Amino acid sequence: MNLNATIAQLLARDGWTLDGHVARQGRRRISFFTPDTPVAKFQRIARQDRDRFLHLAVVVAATAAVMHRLRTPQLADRYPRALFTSLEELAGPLRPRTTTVATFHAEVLSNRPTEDRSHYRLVFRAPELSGLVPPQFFMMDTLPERFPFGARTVNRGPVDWTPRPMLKRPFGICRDFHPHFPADYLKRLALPPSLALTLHPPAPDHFDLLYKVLPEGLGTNLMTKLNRGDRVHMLGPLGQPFDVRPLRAAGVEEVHIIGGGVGMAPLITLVEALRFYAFPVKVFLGIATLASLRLQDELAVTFGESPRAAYVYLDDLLAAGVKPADIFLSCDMARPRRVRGLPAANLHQGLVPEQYRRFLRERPVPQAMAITCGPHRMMEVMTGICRAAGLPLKVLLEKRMGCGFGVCFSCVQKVRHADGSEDYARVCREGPLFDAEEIVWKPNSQPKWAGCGCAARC
Amino acid sequence: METKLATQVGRLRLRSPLLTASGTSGSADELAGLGGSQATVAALGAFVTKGVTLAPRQGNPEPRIIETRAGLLNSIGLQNKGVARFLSEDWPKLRQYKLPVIVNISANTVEEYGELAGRLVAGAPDIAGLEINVSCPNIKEGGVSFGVDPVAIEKIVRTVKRPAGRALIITKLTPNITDITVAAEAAIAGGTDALSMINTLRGVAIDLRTQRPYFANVAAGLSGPAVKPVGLCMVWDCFAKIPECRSRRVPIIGIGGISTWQDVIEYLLAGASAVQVGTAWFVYPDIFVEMKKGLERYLAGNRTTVRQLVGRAHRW
Ligand SMILES: Cc1cc2nc3c(=O)[nH]c(=O)nc-3n(C[C@H](O)[C@H](O)[C@H](O)COP(=O)(O)OP(=O)(O)OC[C@H]3O[C@@H](n4cnc5c(N)ncnc54)[C@H](O)[C@@H]3O)c2cc1C
Ligand SMILES: Cc1cc2nc3c(=O)[nH]c(=O)nc-3n(C[C@H](O)[C@H](O)[C@H](O)COP(=O)(O)O)c2cc1C
Ligand code: FES
Repeated sequence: MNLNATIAQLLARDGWTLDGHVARQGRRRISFFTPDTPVAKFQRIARQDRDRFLHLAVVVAATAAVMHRLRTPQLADRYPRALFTSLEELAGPLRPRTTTVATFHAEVLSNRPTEDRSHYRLVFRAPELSGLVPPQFFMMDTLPERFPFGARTVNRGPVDWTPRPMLKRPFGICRDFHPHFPADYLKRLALPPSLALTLHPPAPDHFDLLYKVLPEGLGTNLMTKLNRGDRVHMLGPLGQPFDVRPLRAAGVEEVHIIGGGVGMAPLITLVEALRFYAFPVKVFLGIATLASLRLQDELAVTFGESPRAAYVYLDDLLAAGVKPADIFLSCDMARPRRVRGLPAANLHQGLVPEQYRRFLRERPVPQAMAITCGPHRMMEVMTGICRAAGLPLKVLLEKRMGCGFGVCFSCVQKVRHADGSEDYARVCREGPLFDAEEIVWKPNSQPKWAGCGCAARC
Repeated sequence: METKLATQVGRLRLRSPLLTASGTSGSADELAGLGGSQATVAALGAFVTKGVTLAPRQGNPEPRIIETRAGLLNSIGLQNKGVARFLSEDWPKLRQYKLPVIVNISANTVEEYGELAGRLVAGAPDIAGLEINVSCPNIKEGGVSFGVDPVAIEKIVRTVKRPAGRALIITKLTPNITDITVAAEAAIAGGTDALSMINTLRGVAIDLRTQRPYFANVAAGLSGPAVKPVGLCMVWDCFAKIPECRSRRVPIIGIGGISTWQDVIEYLLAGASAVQVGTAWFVYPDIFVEMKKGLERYLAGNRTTVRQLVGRAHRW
């Protein structure tokens, strides 16, 4: 097969040219290398480019399987700051990734609250999750490996009756971090869209998780006590991956992400994936108040920068390369202030489905699809909105889980199949992402705007 | 050659006393998705399937699970695809593991139990055993559990035994009864080849916000570490009081709260010839591998075998 011809063809669609092993468009360059290229070549490109992401190296493996073996965290220093692809995917159909579930200990790097202590951000190292494809999730113990006697309690009193949680808790990944890539590399990365579908960033080896501390939640309260250096037992990746790449061939021109409260967290990795593959994205975020999002940016410290105030979600979205004009913010407890360059027209006091409905009404959208996660009622309301607008909607469900890998049948959601039959599907196994039209929402429930409560209240 | 871990349940020779527990074992697909599945399969003596019923069952509405102190309450409601799809979809995959497969069966009338057993044995002649779950409500008797009615237990076992052919008949007893040895003796009178105990204990949880029971069916089943002493006691009682159990003509499979290799040894010493692990396995999918390692160490250190440990705590 003629590699050059294949790549040239892909590039030509987006106005790039191929010259030998280097693709160009204006100041941007992409160099293609075989896996046995000396490490010095990659290092030189990284050094000269200085994180501007104008010049990229791409390692071309023979098959997708070989490529995934090369892009492991263990080989991160062999191919510094390089992207990966394979002849197989360049030439033929895209290969979805399959993963097996692993049990392992992750190392906590930091665990910091937002200003109002309603949410925490947990950064941890877990190379075992590197194969995770959003919106896959994982289960984690809420206590560290060693449990200092008496140190972590919820019910205080002379006798500690607090149960030590036995079940792990399910969480989605909020962001993933790739070795040698700055946390906000997607801001600068601009890949030719056709070629991008065949490319892969290096395997992520640390991750962050944004969790909401439930007022009476045993597990999430215990998690707030996790410290740097703690080892936490995990199980993952779990659930079905959602490969966004085929959306391009399906004619999807724009993806709308609608997150209610902490439901935004597991959607951010999906935004990252969409941005990497150069899909236009619009994000709608519904929260109670801006204060619930503010935190001292521990992440900056992790990457050797000085700490600064940060807004979770907003800064994550900006780091994923979403433009401020494409971020829409609803606050239902207070009038949102202008932050981070969001246009005033994108701010809304009220609930996020209202804002989304208005957006759809005011502007005829091209071929779009919507993905949402949040409280059940909000997702139900969203289903109605998207049905009326004729937009396909996917919902990311969160359910109580026992095992996370499909054996206990406790995480079920009632679904209706194409033939009209109804059934309970396991969110951990068939999900967590479902077609909204499949879901049988609770019988007789009357979705009410007032009770939708996309924010921290529910 | 037989290893120190080998054991025997009736006619069935097992390379390890560790079995999955019904309803927590999933089907072959979930097992295959686990990274450590090969090691897990190697640690198992047999695979006990999810409860199978004649017709497909949707199961109970959510919520279906709640964590308690050192345990959990579940109200799954036997969600399963029914015997036809079990035979066509799950069975061929389970066979590939080359493990003896024991199918757990549930029904709401005595006749249904018989029909179910017949369909399974006809569709899968190399089934190693049938485990009769007698904790189901008896529809003809107003929904009272078969498990508390010795006459019904004896009838069910008889009815299942007829079509069962070579498959081993195991009767899984419920702990929600005054004296488990009465139920055990009824099963033996019916001709059971082995007993397994215990199923989940009845329990209730109430939601403080709604001030209503948490589960639609009010009562749910308690399992996990909290129930271990109860299961151990019932194994002990049967082994101590029933001559057929003591002679191991009707061996006991111990179930209930087993979470560590030490728990396994306790059950063996109390009189169980093998054990099933439910809740602990889905909290920690590497559990069988770890238990096998622990057992091997203990057996080597004490120069003994699983067979020798069974019922040893009863000598005085
Ligand atoms: C696929 C998936 C992804 C998730 N991603 C995130 C995330 O990124 N950030 C985040 O803050 N939360 C997320 N959640 C929800 C998170 O699992 C719950 O908030 C958490 O389990 C609550 O635990 P707790 O011990 O504090 O609550 P408790 O009420 O003490 O928990 C009791 C039991 O209920 C379960 N439970 C309670 N609330 C929920 C809920 N809303 N969803 C699922 N199970 C629940 C717990 O797992 C536990 O088994 C996700 C859930 C799923 C299923
Ligand atoms: C989620 C769940 C589902 C179960 N389903 C069944 C079932 O279908 N049939 C059955 O006989 N027992 C069922 N059981 C009972 C278990 O097989 C076992 O007897 C019980 O859980 C005690 O063991 P453990 O403490 O090791 O879990 C179920 C238990 C759980 C937790
Ligand atoms: S959590 Fe056990 S089946 Fe989904």
